[in-house]
Amino acid sequence: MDTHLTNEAQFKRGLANRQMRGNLWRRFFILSTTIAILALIALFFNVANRAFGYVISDFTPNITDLTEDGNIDALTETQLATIIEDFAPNTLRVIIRNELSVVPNTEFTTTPLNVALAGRNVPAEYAELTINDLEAPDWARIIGLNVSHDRLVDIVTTDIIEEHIIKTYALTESIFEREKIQQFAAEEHPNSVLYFRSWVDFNFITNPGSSDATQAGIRTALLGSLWVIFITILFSFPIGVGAAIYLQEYASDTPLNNLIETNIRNLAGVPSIIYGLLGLAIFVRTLGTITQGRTILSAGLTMALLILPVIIINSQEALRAVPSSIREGSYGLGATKWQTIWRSVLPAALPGILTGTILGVSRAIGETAPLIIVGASTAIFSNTPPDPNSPFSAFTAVPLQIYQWTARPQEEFKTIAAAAILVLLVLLLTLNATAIILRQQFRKRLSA
Amino acid sequence: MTQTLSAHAFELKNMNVFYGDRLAVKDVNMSIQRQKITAFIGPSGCGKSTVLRSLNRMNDLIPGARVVGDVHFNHQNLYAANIDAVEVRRRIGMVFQKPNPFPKSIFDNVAYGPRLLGVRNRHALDEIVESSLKRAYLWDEVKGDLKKSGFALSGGQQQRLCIARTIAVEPEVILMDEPCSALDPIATQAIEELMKELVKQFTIVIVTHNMQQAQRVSDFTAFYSIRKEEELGGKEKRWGVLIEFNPTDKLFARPDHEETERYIRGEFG
Repeated sequence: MDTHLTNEAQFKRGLANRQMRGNLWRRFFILSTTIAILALIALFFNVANRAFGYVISDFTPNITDLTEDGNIDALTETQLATIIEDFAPNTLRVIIRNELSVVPNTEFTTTPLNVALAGRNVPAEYAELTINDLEAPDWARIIGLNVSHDRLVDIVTTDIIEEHIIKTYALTESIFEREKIQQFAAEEHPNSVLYFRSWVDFNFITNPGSSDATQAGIRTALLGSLWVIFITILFSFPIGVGAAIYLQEYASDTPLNNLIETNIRNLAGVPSIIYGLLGLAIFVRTLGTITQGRTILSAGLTMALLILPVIIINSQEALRAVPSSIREGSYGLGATKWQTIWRSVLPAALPGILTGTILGVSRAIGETAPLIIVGASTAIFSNTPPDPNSPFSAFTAVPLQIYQWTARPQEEFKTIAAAAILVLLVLLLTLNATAIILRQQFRKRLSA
Repeated sequence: MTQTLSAHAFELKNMNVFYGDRLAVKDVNMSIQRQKITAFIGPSGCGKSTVLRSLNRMNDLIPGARVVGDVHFNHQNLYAANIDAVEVRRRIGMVFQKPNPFPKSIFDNVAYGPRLLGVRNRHALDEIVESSLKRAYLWDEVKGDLKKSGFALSGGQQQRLCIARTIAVEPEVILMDEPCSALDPIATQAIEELMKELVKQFTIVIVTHNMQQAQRVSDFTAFYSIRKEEELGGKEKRWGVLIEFNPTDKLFARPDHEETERYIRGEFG
């Protein structure tokens, strides 16, 4: 019989054929990986491209009008106080009241300054007078003597000098068309300032939201996100793992239990906006007396519901993967069921359970739709928005803030949206990295 | 344990094991002697492991598994309603085919059982761990690094760790389910020597595929085999039966049954 087994030439041809098919598949796999990596790079590039670049701005008052060399840091305290006096005299009073006074605000205007400003450096001639007896230059003098240089610079740069952005450039433009930009700025906007700005900086993280893109920061949204995630993990982790333990270790193989399991799997695929509606109905409305309506608690509970199926499924998977030899070993020594679960099965499943939780939490961080429905305050734009400080605070969250900013027509808001996306990505990566390190630690402890 | 005990640790009377509706082992009658090594041999699927696992109710862990008939241990029916399987397994320990140390340190592996029983005192645990490892002939090899993971040991050492772990809860019986099948000949020899030492204190029942091993270590040998029956529709029903139970010397030299003889001559299996 003339087959591959006996015919040398045919075997060789067949072998070449088989090898070629393998190589084709290998190339396909490499291509897939490359496409995925390229997509990721494109994403990062696109965001970073917007978050850094040249800016042409007008400053009013013009910085060169305030100080000849344009360096505000070099001014003395007295000079800085004088600038504040010139442009916003009433700010001086507010600063004295808020930052120097030791008496309650209600008594401030009627108390002699040596009492109101006890312990401060008060010139002798003001000692017996009240704040209302003095004029702006006197206030400036008191401030110049008592407020730190850094704080004064801060007040001048944020409260006095206003920046009006004329044009922003992307990072690539800034690098490759630098001369053209400089030329354009010199010709069209000779009185404006051209400078390179990183939109993600310390101020961006620490400033609250603002209707002025140059001042707007992500602090309120970041705190909101962290609070929501905290509440989410607090509820979803124990409940999710508990449900997984019951389903995997205790529940018997009945049709009812199978139905429950199948449905939990289906729940993982339900669109997040549906969870938003559920959260609105249950946590905001029905349980409104407990959650106090549209609060962090309501949002956190809604997110917990959203990621519960993910955590249950993955934890169940992790429990199922624990080798039966470990269970048998434990039972064989006279362990009860709970002792076996607690001392052997759970520790062995923990890395997998953590992975599932990471997946769920990552999803929750980026979710926007349920928060919109549950009613995060998307318009926190005043200059002193309340930072969330309890589960019952109103709040906004980073993805919502991004959504809000991208919806605005001004170019510079799109830029800070990109900056916020970078912050969100870093937040996600940090959380993931922490969890991965934790997981590796557990793995090492279990196997090394 | 003050009451007079017979020489028999286990007495099995008409024991049948079912998995769901399927009969796995039929009508086993045997008495297993205290402080002796009893070996179960027989071809694959003859139910010897099933019988072994019935002796400490490990079969309870398999959904649908059922034991019908009597399994008496010290004159107590192990399957009586008032008997807790957890208590049974503490008194009748088990060592498995594949070494299965917990993913924990050597110390924690041995201390696992005592801790289950509520021993918290560090000093007491230290003592138990040391004496158990010594009795399992493992102490000299691991005393320097008890904190090392059980997985860091070789296969033979892992199996001796599992034996030490079993000894640590002071059982009366140690069941061994093919304890050497995953080990090389040198590690196997170490385990066999250990068994001969342990039998001075414990009753040992071992399932083995290796007839030489049964001959080398055991005092009694039980030979199990398979019975088949054609069902309606061409399906075949199979179950295990005990063919012969005799002192090892006699069973291998002058077996009572022709089937035993054919098996030990290697004619089937």
